[in-house]
Amino acid sequence: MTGPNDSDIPDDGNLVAYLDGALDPDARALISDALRRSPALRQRLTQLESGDRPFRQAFDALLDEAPRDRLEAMLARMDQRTETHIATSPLHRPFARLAAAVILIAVFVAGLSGGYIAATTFGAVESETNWREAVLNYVQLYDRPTIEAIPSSAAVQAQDLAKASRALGLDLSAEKVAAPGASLKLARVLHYEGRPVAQLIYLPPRGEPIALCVIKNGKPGYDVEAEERDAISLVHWASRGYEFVVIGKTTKRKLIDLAMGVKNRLL
Amino acid sequence: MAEDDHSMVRHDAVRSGLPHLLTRLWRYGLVLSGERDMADELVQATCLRALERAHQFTPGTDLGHWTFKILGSIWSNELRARRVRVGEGIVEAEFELATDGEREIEMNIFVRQVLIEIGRLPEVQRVAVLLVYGEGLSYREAADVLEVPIGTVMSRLAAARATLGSMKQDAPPSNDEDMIDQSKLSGRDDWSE
Repeated sequence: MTGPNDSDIPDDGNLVAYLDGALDPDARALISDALRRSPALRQRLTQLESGDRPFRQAFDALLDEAPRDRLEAMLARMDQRTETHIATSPLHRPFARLAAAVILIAVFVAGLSGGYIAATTFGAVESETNWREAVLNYVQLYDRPTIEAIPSSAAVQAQDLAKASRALGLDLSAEKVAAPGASLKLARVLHYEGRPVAQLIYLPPRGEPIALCVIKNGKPGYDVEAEERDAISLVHWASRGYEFVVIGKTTKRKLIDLAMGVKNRLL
Repeated sequence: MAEDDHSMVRHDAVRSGLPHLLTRLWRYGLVLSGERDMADELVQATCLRALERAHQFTPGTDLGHWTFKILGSIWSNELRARRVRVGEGIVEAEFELATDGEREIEMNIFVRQVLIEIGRLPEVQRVAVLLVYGEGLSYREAADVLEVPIGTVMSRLAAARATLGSMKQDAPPSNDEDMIDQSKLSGRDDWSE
């Protein structure tokens, strides 16, 4: 940009700012002087003036066009299906802390008898467990209508997957993360205690969405473990410093099938 | 936990503010995309993301500007690609500011003409014109929403005004002769109304 202070000839931007009354008094005075001296500049100002329109009135007419009722209904549907932030979720904290405490004790006992507790620290164990609880609480809030309502396209997904791949340093391309019989609907990057978490949401032909979440936490590898709680199942494993969890309101068996496919392709 | 309290305050600020912004967000989406369906989608995606990222919102700052920024980012990073990919053509002939795709919207003929002219401007110019002259943002605020230098906003407005000025002879006669009254040039509000 050429400011009125560093040139004798104001540019169009400054002339429009002059017309808009957006200049401070000194800059305005400089342009007034230049206009007095230059007929060409006055002509340019007139041309720009003629580009004025009743913009406010025209744009206000578009506000009346907005489908207000539909948009309000959309926002209402979104309620209770959206979590604010996984790390500060009021839902997850009490439960996760309790769960972490239980697991800490379990690991401690296992460590005493099994002798491998030195491999990790208490803090690391709590953090590694909490991330699964955090993503579990997050994805529990998704239901089928929420996911169906999210606009998605192959191009957008490819970009989102590329973003997630970069964040994690792991190839999460569409071929790698494909799940037989379920379509990928959403890929995004969340953060847990400063570490990127890839969250991929799949929609099977029927039933509730299924989530695959990945974190790079440097955890030693372990084979697939599965658990079922009330109506929700979790399958998790770790490999080459990444930990994976598949979560869904379905049976363990179905999740293990999806998990094994992804596991074999990813690492 | 204090952290949770802050998070909830932010979430509440975003959630309670969004209903008042829906029509303005839709208008922004329409001016960007020129498609009513896309404007719907943009509002939905923006609300979803705003709620998810409510922890990043600073209470006391302008929620409208914050959500505009989100909407603009979703458009340029995610949805615009789809429009290009669909291959509707480079020329934005179907720009739906003054029609709903099939029929002309009932509105003042002069307003309609202005919207048609705005629809012919390049995207970056349309958006600068909307934010500054339609939304009433200062140049600096518009620069912040668009994440460009203030000089870029000025040059985009100037380019828009120059283009609209050259369309002048095609437009219906102005019903407001005072528009070029020099005495009104000192205040932007007077000028743009």
